Amino acid sequence: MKILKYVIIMTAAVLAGCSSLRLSPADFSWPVESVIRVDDNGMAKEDRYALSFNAKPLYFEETGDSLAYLDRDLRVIRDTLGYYYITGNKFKNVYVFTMGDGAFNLYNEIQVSETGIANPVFNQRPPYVELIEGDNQYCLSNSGIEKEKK
Amino acid sequence: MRYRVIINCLLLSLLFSYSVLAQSDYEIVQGFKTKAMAIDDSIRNASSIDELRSAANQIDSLRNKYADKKDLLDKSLYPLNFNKTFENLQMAYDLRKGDFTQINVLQTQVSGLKDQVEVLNQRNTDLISRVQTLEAESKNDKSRIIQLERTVADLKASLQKRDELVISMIDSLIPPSYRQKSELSSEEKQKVYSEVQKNNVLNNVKKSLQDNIKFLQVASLTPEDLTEIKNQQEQFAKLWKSVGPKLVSIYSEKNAGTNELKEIDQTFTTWKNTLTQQAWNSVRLIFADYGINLQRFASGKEFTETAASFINDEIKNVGIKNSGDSQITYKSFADSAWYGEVKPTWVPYLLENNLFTEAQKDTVENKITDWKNSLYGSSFNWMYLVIGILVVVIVILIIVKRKPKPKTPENQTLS
Repeated sequence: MKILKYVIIMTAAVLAGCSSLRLSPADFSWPVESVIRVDDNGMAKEDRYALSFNAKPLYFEETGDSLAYLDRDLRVIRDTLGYYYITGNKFKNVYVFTMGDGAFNLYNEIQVSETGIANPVFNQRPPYVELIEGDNQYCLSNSGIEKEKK
Repeated sequence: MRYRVIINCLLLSLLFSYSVLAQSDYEIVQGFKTKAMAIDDSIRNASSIDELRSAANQIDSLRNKYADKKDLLDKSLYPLNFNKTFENLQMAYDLRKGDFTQINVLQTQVSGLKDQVEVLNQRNTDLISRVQTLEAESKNDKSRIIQLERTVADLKASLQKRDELVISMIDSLIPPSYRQKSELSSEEKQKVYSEVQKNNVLNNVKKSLQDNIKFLQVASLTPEDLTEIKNQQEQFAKLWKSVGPKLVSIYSEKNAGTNELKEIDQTFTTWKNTLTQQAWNSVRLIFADYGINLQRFASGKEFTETAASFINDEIKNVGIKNSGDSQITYKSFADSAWYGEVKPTWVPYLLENNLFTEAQKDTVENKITDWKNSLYGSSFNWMYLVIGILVVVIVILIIVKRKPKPKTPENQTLS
């Protein structure tokens, strides 16, 4: 019994040791947003960061139309913590994603307009991501709108 | 009232700063990239030094305009940064400026060369016709030979000088830096085209080649002359090979002058063939000087066949033709023409330039030996026979004289 306890404690210690390795601080921020054209297959590709993802489910989520991605641009930026912020013209929301196994996992959906935002742009303003839409400015974090200037 | 104005101004400036602040970083970066690219294009496509100077002003104003965005641009212009972008623009500017400086210098050079070439063109035409006249006159009047030689030397030097000028002209129009480029820009092409047209370069190249051909045709030349001309020809051909395709591409775009360029290529081939033909003509003339009229030949093979055919005919005629005449023909052909002049003077040149082979030379000489044997063969045999008999007789006499006499009893007593 004693031996079993010892083995369990040692295993826990080893596993804890493995998971405690952190490279901190790390800055994942992109200096400027990327404007990504969605191709005919619904794929969005960003060359500088070698990033590509299927944008069709995002458009379906936003508009309910599976073909709404055609001839559209997405605006993508990554914040200091590594969260991806994605939005587009006439979107009502900014989508915050984390990286998963070969996929983007939705972390938060931040509603910024009820009717849809016109020509939105992202700026990197650590610790926030700034969203500008016309005369409106929003300071966003992964959890939502932190500040709003009008 | 005064305060109200100040407040309004402050509000306006706040509004202005707000609108500046509200600008997208992405747009700033894209705007900078677009402007830098436009300046780069205007540098590369500048067709005059003034256009280039205006690009330099644009560089300065771009730098000033975006100086306060340097941090953003440093992060966003990967793999470049703010300073590197301007370094690249400056480098493109300096390079292009160098092109213009070079072009200006070369244009001045070419204009000077053009005048000199024109003078020499006229002079060479006069000299060629003078050589033609003197060649004809010298056949009857030997006193003209010295004059002819002097004029030929003069013409040769003058042609060479003109060729060198034409070469410098081509060299200046398409400098080595242009030749290394796989494709010239449209401005560079236009520049070369207008200079080539203005300075009549294609005509001068053609005239130069044609005069060289005429010179070969009218003057009697030595192997040394031909070697010199060959070197000159190779130099010319090498330059043309590096420049010709560029000119063809420029002219084909303009749909002009391509026939002239083709003609130049053909004239090069003619010049080369004429040089070969001239060597064989000189050989033929040597035989003709000794009264041996051979058929025209233009290669080692043809010469060997012609010489062999002539000798075969002569061999067949041995015994039919007067023996004295046959021997004179043999001596003229073999001793005077072949061994006396052609072999020491022309054969080394022909062998060196692969116009004649050792095997062909051996064939000719074997034929000459056969001819000699058939002419003098019997008398030689008699001589050998007489000499042989004489030698045998002398040897027998010596042996007989030296043979010791048999010993007699008197001899024995005496000893």
